[in-house]
Amino acid sequence: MSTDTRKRSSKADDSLNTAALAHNLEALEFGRTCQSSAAGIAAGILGLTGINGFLLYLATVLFQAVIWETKAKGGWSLYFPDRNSLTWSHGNGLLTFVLLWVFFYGMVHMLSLLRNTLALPCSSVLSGGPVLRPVFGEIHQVRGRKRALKQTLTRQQRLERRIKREEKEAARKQYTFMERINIRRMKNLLSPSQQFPGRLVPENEVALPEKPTLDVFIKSHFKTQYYSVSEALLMHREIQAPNMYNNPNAPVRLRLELNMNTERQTKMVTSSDEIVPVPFPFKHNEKRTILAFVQDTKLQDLAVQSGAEIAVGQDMIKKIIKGQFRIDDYDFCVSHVDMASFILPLRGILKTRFPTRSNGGLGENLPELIEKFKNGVKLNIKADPVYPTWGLSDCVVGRLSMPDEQIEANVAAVVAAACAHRNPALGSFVNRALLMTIPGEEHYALNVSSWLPVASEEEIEKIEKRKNKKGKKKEEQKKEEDEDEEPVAVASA
Amino acid sequence: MSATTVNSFLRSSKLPLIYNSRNTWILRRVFTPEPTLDGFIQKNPNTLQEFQKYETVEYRTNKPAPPVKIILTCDVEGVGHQFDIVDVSSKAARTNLLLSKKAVYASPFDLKYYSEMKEKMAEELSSRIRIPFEFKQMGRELQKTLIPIKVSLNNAWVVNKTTIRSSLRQKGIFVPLDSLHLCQPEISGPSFDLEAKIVRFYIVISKQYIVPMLGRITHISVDEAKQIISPAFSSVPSDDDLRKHGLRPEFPIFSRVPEFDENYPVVEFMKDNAPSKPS
Repeated sequence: MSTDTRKRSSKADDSLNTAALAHNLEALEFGRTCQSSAAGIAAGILGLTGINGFLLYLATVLFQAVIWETKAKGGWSLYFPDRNSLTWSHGNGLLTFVLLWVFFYGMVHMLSLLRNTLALPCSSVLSGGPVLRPVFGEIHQVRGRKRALKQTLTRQQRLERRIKREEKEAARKQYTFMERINIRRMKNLLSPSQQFPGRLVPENEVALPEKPTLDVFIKSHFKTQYYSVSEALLMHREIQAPNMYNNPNAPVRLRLELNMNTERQTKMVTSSDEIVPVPFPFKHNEKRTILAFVQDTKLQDLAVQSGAEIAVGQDMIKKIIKGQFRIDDYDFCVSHVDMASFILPLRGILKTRFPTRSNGGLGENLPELIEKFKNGVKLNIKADPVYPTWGLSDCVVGRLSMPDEQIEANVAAVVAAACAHRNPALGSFVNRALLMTIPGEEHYALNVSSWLPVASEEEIEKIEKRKNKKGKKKEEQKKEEDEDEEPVAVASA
Repeated sequence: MSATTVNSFLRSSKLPLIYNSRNTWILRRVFTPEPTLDGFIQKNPNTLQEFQKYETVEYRTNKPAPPVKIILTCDVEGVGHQFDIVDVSSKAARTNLLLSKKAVYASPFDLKYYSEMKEKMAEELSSRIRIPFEFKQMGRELQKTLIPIKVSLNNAWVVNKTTIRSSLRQKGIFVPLDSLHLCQPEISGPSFDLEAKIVRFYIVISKQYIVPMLGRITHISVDEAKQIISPAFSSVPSDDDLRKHGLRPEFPIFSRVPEFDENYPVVEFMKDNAPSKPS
């Protein structure tokens, strides 16, 4: 503030030295800017918020006003037209103040807050701290997951995992790769059991009458009619007579529809391949390869002469176990009694082909044994890949030209052999037996009930007990419910 | 708003239609109040909330309606003869039999009225020839099918009863040998000219009902190289087709006594008496 201005203004009120006035106002403006920026920086660094910041501004304004007044030495009107040491240019001053205040507050306090949140996310989460979690928290989560991988499993967990894995593997091993592909393909088609002539499902026939009342009847209007073997053969012979299909020596085919379920819910009767010796052999035009186990070399020669593919002794058994000698190609095995104890380890490998006294494969007269199995019926039990509880077995049991009794005896032998695969207490293994010819579409259901094995009462009881065990829990629950209901019933009675 | 506008409004709106229907619930108290002793004033059974609880014994509306007992006023196929008192399903009775006046409810009055009428008409009724429904149904089924009579392509053959029985069996029709009657003279081969020839034969059901049947000679062979492919006529040939083969349309005939046995000249009988229209 120059002294000239003061002097001039004191001389004459109405004449002002504009140059001096402009200079003075500029000085005021400069002072205000400096004051407000200093106040802003101070407020920001101090971390003042809200009204406190403005109070600081006000304090600095007052402080500056005091400085200006002392500088003017009490003669403010000498230098300025109005008294405005407190009110001068707050617009600009406040703007500057707020700008710097916010800037410095941000610089100093926001950054430190950010640093703090980064350092202590975990503790803040645990203590239920701030509701909003910073985005950077995810980094921590990834680390956490990695740590979980290294976590040790409890014995229980490990056991569970192993059981799961083994189940998966067992399901995969049940069928070979090609079988699995075929199953997938066949699921889109009809299952072998459903293909002609189909499978008898008793539920589908419930509505139909049992027996025809008239002497003329249409097959599809009644439940399945069962015939004896001789009746069925008569009908086949009529059709295969020379003046019709002209095939009087046609092979007679027995188609067995099987029920494959066992005592256990998840286990089914396994598919198998065996030769059933029949009482009346016939020409089947099939090649049968038979493996003979016999120790004596002379008998070995005899076995080969009488029709065995190969005769082997004790030395071969180890090779079979090791897998060096393939036994897949042999339809059946017979054994001389002298080898009975040596072939025992092969039971698991040969399965249904294993020669025993009960299946007639073990004996002393090898040529007779071999002859029996060479002329036997090949019984092939196949599980249905689509419906696991269904099975199918197709075999040739004779020729149309054979006498009825012979074919009947053969059918009985085959049915009995097939039924040995399942516990008779579970019910009939054979769902329906059809007698057909090759070739030919005519099929007549056979009444096979007389050849089915009869279960002893003990066995039936056993099965029922097993069933009841599962039902027990449910029954108990029901009983409890009944007890609850009883008082109500009494009350209402 | 006038009545018509209200109606149209109701029809156009999506309001659910309210039907006049009856629902029958049979309920039972969950807790029964004790019976009032003699000389005491009966309490209000609704004093306790427990006494207002009910459980469902039966919801009748959900159960199918029981059969209805009706009296037939005329012969109805598959149901019964005139004046028979029969139980039929309520739907069949209400939608068909009662509306068309083929039957009336078996009310006490009607029972008496129609039994009297039955007595009056006894003679007329007994003189009427009535074919059992079972026979009629079987006859229709049989007449619907044209039987391919399979004969050998290679060997000598004669169309006899056994051939026809086997051919019928292939179509799912089981017939005893005695009830088949063939026209004479027997057709025999080998003669390929006879391929697709239509043959008449008769099936007698229970010695009472003669059903004229049609067969078509079809040559077959087990040898696949010799199999013939010919158009299969599954439907019955028309009257014109029959005339070409020297045949005429015939329909079943019924006898009240089982007289058409094995030795009865069925073919000659049918030549003179076969009806040319369905009975």
